[in-house]
Parts: sequence; C-alpha cells; structure tokens
Amino acid sequence: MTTDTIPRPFRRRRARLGAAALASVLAVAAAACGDDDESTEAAGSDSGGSGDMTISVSEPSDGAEVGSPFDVVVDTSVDIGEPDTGLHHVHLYYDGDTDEGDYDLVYEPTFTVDRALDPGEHTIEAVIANADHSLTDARDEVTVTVGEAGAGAGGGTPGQSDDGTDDGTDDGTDDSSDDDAPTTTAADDPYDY
Amino acid sequence: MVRNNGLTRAFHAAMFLVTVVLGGTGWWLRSGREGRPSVLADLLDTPDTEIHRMAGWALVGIAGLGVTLGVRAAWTFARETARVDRGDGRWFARWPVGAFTGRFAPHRGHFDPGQRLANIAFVASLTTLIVSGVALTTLSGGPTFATMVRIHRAATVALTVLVIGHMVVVSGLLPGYRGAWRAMVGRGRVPAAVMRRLWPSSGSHHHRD
Repeated sequence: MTTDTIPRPFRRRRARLGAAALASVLAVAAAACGDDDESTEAAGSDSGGSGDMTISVSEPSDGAEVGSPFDVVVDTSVDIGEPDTGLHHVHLYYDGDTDEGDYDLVYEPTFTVDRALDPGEHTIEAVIANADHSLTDARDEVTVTVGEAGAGAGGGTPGQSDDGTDDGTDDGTDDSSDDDAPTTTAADDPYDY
Repeated sequence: MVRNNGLTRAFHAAMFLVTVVLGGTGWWLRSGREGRPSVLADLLDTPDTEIHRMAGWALVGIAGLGVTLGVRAAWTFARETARVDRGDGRWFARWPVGAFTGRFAPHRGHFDPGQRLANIAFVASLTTLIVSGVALTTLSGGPTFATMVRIHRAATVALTVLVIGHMVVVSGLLPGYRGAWRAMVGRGRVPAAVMRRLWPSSGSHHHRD
C-alpha cells in the first residue's frame, strides 16, 4: 500500500473525513449510553403492550418457607418466551444481586429454582426483561426462607410453609401448590431415605 | 520487509480484540449460560449481555474509524480485494499443493486469490453482524427482532468458521503459510522468503517502518 496508489481526492478529503469519523464515534457512544427506558418503550410498542406492564410473584408467597428446589410462579401482563421469539422474558435475581449478571431466566410462568441457596432468608426479585435482555421497570419481590430440612427434596413447592390457617389463597384444587396444602418435608417423607 | 503499516496492524489488533470479546460472550450466551457470569463478566462485574452490547458498539466505532480515518487503506483493501487477474484460477487449482508444500502458483495481487475471497466473506459477515446487532439493540423485541436474531446467529456461525480458518492459516499448521502471521503481529516484518512464497509480486509496495 503506497500513497501513489491512492486517488488524490481521498487525500484532500482526509481532514473532513477525520472530523466526520469523530462525529460518528461520538454519535455511536451517545447511542451506546442511551437510556434503557427508551429501549423498554421500544420493546413494548413492538412486542405488544408496555406502559402498564406488570409482574407479580404468585408463588411462593412473601415470607413462605420453601425447600430446595422450589417452584416460582409469575403472573405477567405480557406474553413471555425465549428471546429469539421476540417476546419478553423474566429475570430472577437473588438477594439483591441485580448488577452482577447472576440470575435465572424464566420463559414460562412456572420456573423451578434449583440453584444452591443456603438455608435461611433470601429475597427473590422478578423483573420483566425485553428480548434483548434490557430490563423494564416491571418487577416484584418476595422474601422466602429456605429450610434446612427441605434441602435435597423434590421439585414443586415441597417445603412451602403452612401455618394451618386458611388465608384465602387456596384455589380450590387439590394440588401441591395450594397455599394450604399439607406440607411434606424430607423429615416425614416415607420415600426419603 | 514490512507488509502492513502500523495503523493497519493496530486496526487489525483492535478488530481481533473486540471480535474475541464478542465471540466469547456471544457463544457463552448462545450456549444457554446467560445468567451464569463468565470469567470476563466476573472480572468486569458486568453481565455478559451488557459486555456483548458494549463490545458491539466498540466494533461499530472501530469499523467507522476504519472506513473514514483509514480511507486510504480501506480503498486499497477494496481495490485489491476486487481485482481479478489472469492466472487466479490456476492459483486456486494448485492451492492444495501450495498449502502443504509452499509452491503456490503465482499471482499478481497484494492479496492472494484465496485471501480475496476470505476478505469478501469477512466483510459480508461482519457487516451483517453489525447491522443486525444495531437492529437488535434498537428494537429490543418484537417480530422484527426475532428475525434479526436468526440473521445475527447465522452470521455469527459464518464468521466463526472464517475466524477458525484464518487461525489455521496463520498458525502455520499448513506448511505453505508458515511465517504469514508475522505480517500482522509485532512490527509486521515478514522474511523476504515468505514474501516471495506468499505474495511474490507485492515486493515493490512495501513500507519500511
């Protein structure tokens, strides 16, 4: 590559192109630092419904005791699915770690948490994310207590606590996810050796 | 002999670094590990998705600088990539022999005919990745986003294959290309014997740093 092989017009325009290059880099930087809220709105308008986007964690209930693994059920006002569908999905963050990239991905209303959570109290924050993984403002948080006896138990919500009172959240069906369903723990499970 | 000047080598190094980050985080996410921080994410205390997004914008910036501040080199690159000479077909026909023995058929370009095809494929896949990547960031979701995801993934596979092929060539695994790596690494000095073997007619075009 030698200068004598370069057309003269390119040499004369170099200074102007340099300025244009700097301007374009600044524009790119500005776009890269753009407000996430804009992308949230864009996703909403393209994915159907956004401004009033909501999410709530219906199970486990706030303050519940759970085993491990346990199920989390989320109710969202928008359809969720894998990112390549263009739909929103949900991120589950634990104990306030929302900035470190350590979270679970939820593509369906029910998700089984099988990560190793130490026995004790934990917060679970569910946030609706756009398909490009930028976060929206729609979020809900519950606090649960992972019981020691529940560790290693089966799926579902095996260790969910029940204080014996009917809190009105029973959906009337006989399934293990009812708030008032009898609690099965590893200690009294005849199949737990 | 210096085959590529310092700015060209710096551009190549910047593209290499940002491509490694994009490829690493991209394949990490593609393999279903999103939400499990990679080593890089741990080091930077930033989610892989965000690192991928930032590196993508860096790629846009580097490419923009390349075609503006580096317009002379970009013009030479385009012209030399687009050239077709009598005898190029013979170079391709003899390539399998040349790759293992170093006895390539002669060519008259700054790039050999195989490099020219690779250049076109690199530019096409990188351009597709940049355009679809910017679209993904802008759209955030929806049907067009889903289409762009498929395009982005296909271009990623294509670029990955190209990069692997590029690494095989410059690594010297093919005996005919031994020494080629020196053209873009360090001071860019290539032994005269390597120049004669790989780029026999470009000896008069070399810079000396």
